[in-house]
Amino acid sequence: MKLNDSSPSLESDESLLTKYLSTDDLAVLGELYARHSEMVYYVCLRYFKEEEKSKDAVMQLFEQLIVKVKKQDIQDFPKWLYVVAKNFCLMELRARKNKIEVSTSEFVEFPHNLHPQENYAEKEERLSQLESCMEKLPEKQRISIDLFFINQKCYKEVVEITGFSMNDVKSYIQNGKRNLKNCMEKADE
Amino acid sequence: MSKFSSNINYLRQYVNGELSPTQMYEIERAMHTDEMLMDIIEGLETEKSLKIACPSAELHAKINSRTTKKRERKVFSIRKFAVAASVIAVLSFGALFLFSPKPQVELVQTAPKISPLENKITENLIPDSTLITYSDDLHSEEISTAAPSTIKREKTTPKKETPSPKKIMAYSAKPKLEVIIEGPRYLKNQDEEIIQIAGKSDITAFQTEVLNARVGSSSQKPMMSNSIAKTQGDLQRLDLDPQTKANLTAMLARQAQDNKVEVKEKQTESTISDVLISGNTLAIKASADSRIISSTETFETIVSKPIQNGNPIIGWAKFNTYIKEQLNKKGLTSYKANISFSLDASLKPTLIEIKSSSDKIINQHIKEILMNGPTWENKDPNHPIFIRINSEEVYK
Repeated sequence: MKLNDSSPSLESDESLLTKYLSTDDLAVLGELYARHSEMVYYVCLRYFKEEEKSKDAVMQLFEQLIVKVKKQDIQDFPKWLYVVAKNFCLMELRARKNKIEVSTSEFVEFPHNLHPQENYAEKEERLSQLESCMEKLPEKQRISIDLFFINQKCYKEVVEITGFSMNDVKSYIQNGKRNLKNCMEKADE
Repeated sequence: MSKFSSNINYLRQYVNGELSPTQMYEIERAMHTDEMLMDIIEGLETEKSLKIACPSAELHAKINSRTTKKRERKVFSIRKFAVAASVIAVLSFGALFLFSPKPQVELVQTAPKISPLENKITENLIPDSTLITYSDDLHSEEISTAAPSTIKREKTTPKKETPSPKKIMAYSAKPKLEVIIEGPRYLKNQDEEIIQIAGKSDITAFQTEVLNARVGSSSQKPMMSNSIAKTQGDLQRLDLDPQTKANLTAMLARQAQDNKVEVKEKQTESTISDVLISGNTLAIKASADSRIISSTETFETIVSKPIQNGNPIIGWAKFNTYIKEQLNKKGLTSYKANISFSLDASLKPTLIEIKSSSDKIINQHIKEILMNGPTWENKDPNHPIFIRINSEEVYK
């Protein structure tokens, strides 16, 4: 069972994880981790903005994994790994003094209920509130939100339609989304 | 987690703008609900902006190396290392024990003074063997010990036997010389001197054989009787056991009566030829010019120098009679042969070689006669027994 095998193993993440926990074979954990090593790398690269630092982080995380996987009940390995990786990166950034300050609010917590159930009446009510909040958004944010969420245009198309830059579109959509959320929370109160 | 999160290549296509607007929208829409996907895409965009190569292969290699390293560590566990180290240690000690040099006999020169007589004796000796000479007040006349380098040390150098040695001389060893050993014959030469082990009475340097190396010319007959008399005198002064002394005395007496002198002279200038054989028939030359004639040299013309390193168990007289009877049965009344042989486990002659003989017919019978004959004793197991049978000597 080699990591560099051209043919990927057919075993699922859960199977490999169980196998590692029972056999303590590092090669098994290595195979499992290698499947998601790119994801870990790009998450780290997103925060560190440094190639070598991100590569080192990948290997450091693997060392942590050897111990951590035995201590935690892991249901979804990729998601769990992402949370571990992101927290590691944020901790590293915090450790770097005179650099980016990372607020604790950015740390990720495992969501207990990602999809809360709503009934139809509540949904209709929330849509009415959403339309009301949309009217209150700044025009650029409202146009960008409308094109992206309602008309289902991709960023590139929004750029082409509005003439905004890509970063502006992303920013308008992000900020408009946050404002809508705040507006909805106020309406709930 | 969205379906795109695990497909990095697809996301890379998105970042590179290679997807259709619909595909792009799917990803972008997923980004708003999947934080991990957003982070990955932002990482990919960082990679694109920094123009970094895809690190996939490198990461896999590092992980593989890490897991392989761990596996190797398991193979060479501490226990296995300990076992290997123990085996190596045992082998090393064994090798040291086997190949370490044995403790050498240390020869120490201890006495500052040498008596005049000792000086005289030692001056005439040519060192060719380990030789240790002791002297004390009681035994100061002739002291010379000739022994092979391999002789047992306790025979000559025990502290109890030599409480106050005045001189210890050590000489390097020379190769053993071949000698002719003759059975029934005794000392014949007229010039003979015996340098005898001398020391305190408790030094039991047994002389089992006497080699007489003739050096003087056969024309020097007047010297012979004097030499024998001198030897007899020397013999009387030695502390030998009665049996040995009696044997040597008889030998000398018989030698004096022997009229045949068959020794071929090699060095007429030499006046002394003293050869003492102790234990394993090592010959010592007393003069640089003297020479012991080997049996391998012109055997026909050389008269043997008798050495009794082997004796028939039944005695020489009975043996000679036995030989005569057996050869007479074969029709041989006059014979002469020089023979060498070794002894087998039952002390019977084996590997019999006829060095020379008076008649070829003898050669055919002598081996059988010897093999069917008496058993032998060999006092020098390192060398074969040499004998000469002679029809004229049977009744001597």
